[in-house]
Amino acid sequence: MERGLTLKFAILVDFGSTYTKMVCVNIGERKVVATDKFPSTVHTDAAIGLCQCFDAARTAIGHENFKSALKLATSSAAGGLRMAVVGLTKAVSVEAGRNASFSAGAKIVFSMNGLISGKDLEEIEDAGAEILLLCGGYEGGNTHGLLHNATVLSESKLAIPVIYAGNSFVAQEIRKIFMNKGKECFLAENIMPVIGSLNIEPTADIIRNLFMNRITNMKGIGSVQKEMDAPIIPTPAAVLSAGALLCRGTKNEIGIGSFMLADIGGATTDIYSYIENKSFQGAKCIGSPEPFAKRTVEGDMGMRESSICLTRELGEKNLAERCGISETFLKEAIEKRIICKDYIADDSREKIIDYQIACSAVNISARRHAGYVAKEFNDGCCLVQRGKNLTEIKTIIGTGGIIVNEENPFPILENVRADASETGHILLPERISTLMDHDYVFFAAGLLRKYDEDAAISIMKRSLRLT
Amino acid sequence: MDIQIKRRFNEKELPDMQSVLGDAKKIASEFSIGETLFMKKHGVKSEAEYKRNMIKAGKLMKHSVIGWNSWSATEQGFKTVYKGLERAGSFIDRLGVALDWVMGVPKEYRNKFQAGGSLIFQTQEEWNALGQVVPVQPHLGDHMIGSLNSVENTVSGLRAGVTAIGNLAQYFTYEYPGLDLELYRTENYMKAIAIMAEFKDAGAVLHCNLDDGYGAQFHDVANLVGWAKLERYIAEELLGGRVAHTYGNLFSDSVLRIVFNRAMGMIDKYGTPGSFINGNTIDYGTDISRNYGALCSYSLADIICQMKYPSGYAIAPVPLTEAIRIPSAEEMIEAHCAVDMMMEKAPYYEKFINWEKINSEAEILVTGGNIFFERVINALDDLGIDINHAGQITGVLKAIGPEQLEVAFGVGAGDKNAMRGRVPIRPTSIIQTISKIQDDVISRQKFEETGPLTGMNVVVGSTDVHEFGKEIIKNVIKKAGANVFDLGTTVSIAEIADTLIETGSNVIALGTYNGMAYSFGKDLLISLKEANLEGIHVLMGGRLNEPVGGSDIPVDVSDMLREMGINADNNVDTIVDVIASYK
Repeated sequence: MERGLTLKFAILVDFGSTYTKMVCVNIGERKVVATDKFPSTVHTDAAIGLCQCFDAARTAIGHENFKSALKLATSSAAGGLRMAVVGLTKAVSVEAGRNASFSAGAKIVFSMNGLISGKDLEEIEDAGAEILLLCGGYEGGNTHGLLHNATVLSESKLAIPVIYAGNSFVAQEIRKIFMNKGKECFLAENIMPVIGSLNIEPTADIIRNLFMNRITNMKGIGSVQKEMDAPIIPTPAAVLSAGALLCRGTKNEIGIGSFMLADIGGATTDIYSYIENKSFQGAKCIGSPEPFAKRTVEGDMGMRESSICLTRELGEKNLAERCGISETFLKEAIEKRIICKDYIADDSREKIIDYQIACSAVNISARRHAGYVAKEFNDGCCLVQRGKNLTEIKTIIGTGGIIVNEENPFPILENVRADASETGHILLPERISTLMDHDYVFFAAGLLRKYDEDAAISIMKRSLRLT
Repeated sequence: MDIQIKRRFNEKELPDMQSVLGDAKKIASEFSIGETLFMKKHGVKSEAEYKRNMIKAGKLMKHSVIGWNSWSATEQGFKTVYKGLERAGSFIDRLGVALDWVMGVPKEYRNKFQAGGSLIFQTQEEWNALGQVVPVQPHLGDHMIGSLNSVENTVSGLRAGVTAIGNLAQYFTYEYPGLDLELYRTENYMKAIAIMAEFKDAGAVLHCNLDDGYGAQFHDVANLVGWAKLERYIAEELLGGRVAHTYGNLFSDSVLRIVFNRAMGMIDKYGTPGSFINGNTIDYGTDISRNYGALCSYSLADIICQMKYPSGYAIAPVPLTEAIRIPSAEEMIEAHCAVDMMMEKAPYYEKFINWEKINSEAEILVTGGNIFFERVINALDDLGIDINHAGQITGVLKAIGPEQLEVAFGVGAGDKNAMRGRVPIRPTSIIQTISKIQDDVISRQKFEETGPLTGMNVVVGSTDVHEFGKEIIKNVIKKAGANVFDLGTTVSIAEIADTLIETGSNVIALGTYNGMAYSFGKDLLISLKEANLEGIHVLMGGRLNEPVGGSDIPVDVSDMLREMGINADNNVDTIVDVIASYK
């Protein structure tokens, strides 16, 4: 990209499944000057949606500024990148693999630990993953389980790239096993080289790279890559990066400190948290170390296509009671949401259903994201902590359609709070303040931070109405 | 290296230095230092003034710690010790008083916690009584400055006439379970030091027992000197106080005690009299005869040092029963009398000591300490910490922790096989002891260059905070060729099965000391079974005991462990052969 030393404007686009969104930023003034969204055309030709976004930006900033503007994009089209994770133990290597996958912007459709059995293999093959992450073993540690799993996978029907991020002592051997069976295998540094250490970035880099190649080959989005100044990255990866900046701040602009972010979509609910993990009341932390910036995705927690799973989890009777409607009415309402992903609640009862689904999505997803403590072995280390301690989080930020469209979205977000029965067990905060990403700029800030961190943090603070 | 700062609060949220100093000045203006019987008797305004008089007069001082669990027992103990020593023709200058841990908690939280059974003062009158029983100067260390209640306790202590108050080291290593008020604690810590600073001309000094803080956790004495300098920088240069250090619990090498004292003198630019030199308690055990030898050897070194270079440090005669029970007043008197004899005999030794060598060793430590100090301060500056803000430095140093400080900024030469990756300039006594045991064991092993454990993966860990036994085992089996995975200390049963799988190991060697060997072993085997792990060999060593059958007294459980299939040989000489047999 060669546009001289000063960047004046940035046009930031997100190719989503439902909408293609645009945020245009005056970098010097650190302000959003235009936002717009258009029905997504990623399934036909993404260039149409992009053209509409560019037209809107051109109108806002003029032709000359448009020409010289920085143009970047994210994509969450087609439900994002679907991954499978196979490790040796659930709490250590699988958890590390999940963290790497989530931080790269992927969605996990299958994960397992241990030696892959015939039944496991069938499940992996049926999961519809686009990448498989094979991990496990500290450096110099387990090799037997890894070689077994690599052999089974290499002989399977799977035709997806495998990333190997386990004990590097057998990395070459494992790559050879896959190559000999005509399967792609990429090697990353060990995701957990020694006890107590997490090394997810190299794996996340490969995932992002594979994502870029995959969408380049996709009908629709591939055609718009050439209009951009940098590779298109997964939307959640950009949001994760933006949040880290907002938490810590820049040299010139103070951050807002630790926070969580909830993004409730039609198919998934994403929870992000930004805080260094620390032991709760001296508990012994076990399992994979937790990253400062953590993202989890719940594929069964969403407002539309996943609303059926959420209803199952809660129980139809329970949800109907909460909404003050009959179970029959609820059944029909959920069916409507599955069939029509773009459905907009059009009366007060439907709005209540949406509201209750959103509350439950936040409630359950936050609890899956958070760590917990339990008493174990009374005479020794009595309190054991698994997962991330979020008790000191001060703020929850909401983003996504339901949050922006709801008249009073803050009670939905307050569902992350630990209630009295959970205090001292589930590691969520007891008190929390709520904010809303009014202008949907987190993806844009994540793209922009590489070029101008001050502008990126400013647009987020303005969207949160902090300035 | 990347420094991991495990922050518990944002140090930038601390009040600025001006506000802290201003608040301290205001608080200090509202009261004055009380007068104890000791001050009256000696005609001084503070203990520091008394110590300076004693230095001039060439007289030594002595110190003891009182740790009884009620005021009436303490008061009686004061009298018994003072009068008993008087009767024996001996003396005591100062008494360290141990407060209950809940005294370190602000009053509004105290009712949530179970007190520990030591002294609790409810009113200022109760505090004042400390100095009114006998003419021995009280000293207040634990749960004062560095606790969650630093300011209130410091004010009470000063009003009671106590002029040596600490323990600065406790801020770094003592935690109040269930109360994570680190921002509050740090602000309180700064203010309490600044209040003491307001009284520095009246003789108030800040006590700090290095061995209670990072002294116990550093491996290199040179780094410890650098650490002491950091503490002085924070408390003296930034907050205006005067520091009186203590050390000794962990110094087994008698000559190192003298060298370290000289080094401490060299970094004390204000000439503040030291607090006391604690006894070498790491050599104390259940054998009273050996303890007697330890008392004589360390006290002789301390006495000789104070005779040649008097610097106000009191000698601490530790009762011979200290490792077995809370010593009685009579046992305290016995120890004092033994030390009195060492005082009589010390002059014969002092003149033959090679002081040139001692001072040159001390200079090596100071040079190393200066480098450590500079490296740490520069790194904090680079990390964006305000190096003129006492609280920011203190909070971040605690969040970095001693191990990282030593690994990243330590002054020993780099060596990947050394503990913490550096060869200490002068190892601490604990490290000397470990190295000696380790070297002895390794020298007794008779294997060729390729050790018998080559190709084997072994997991090691400790069930509690004790790490040195584990370190010895780790290095011995490493030397024998094993690929060792270290789970560290306070290992949880829940993490062992996962670690065995991820490491591909079938052997776990665990050290344990806290009297829970049987329960831990039993629960571990259940957990391994639940994880479907077969053919795992569990070895346990250390103190293999536990109270069983409803008794409170721990008994040896080695046989019970063996019955369950756990190796309880507890023998470092045979561990390599035992593990090799699992191949």
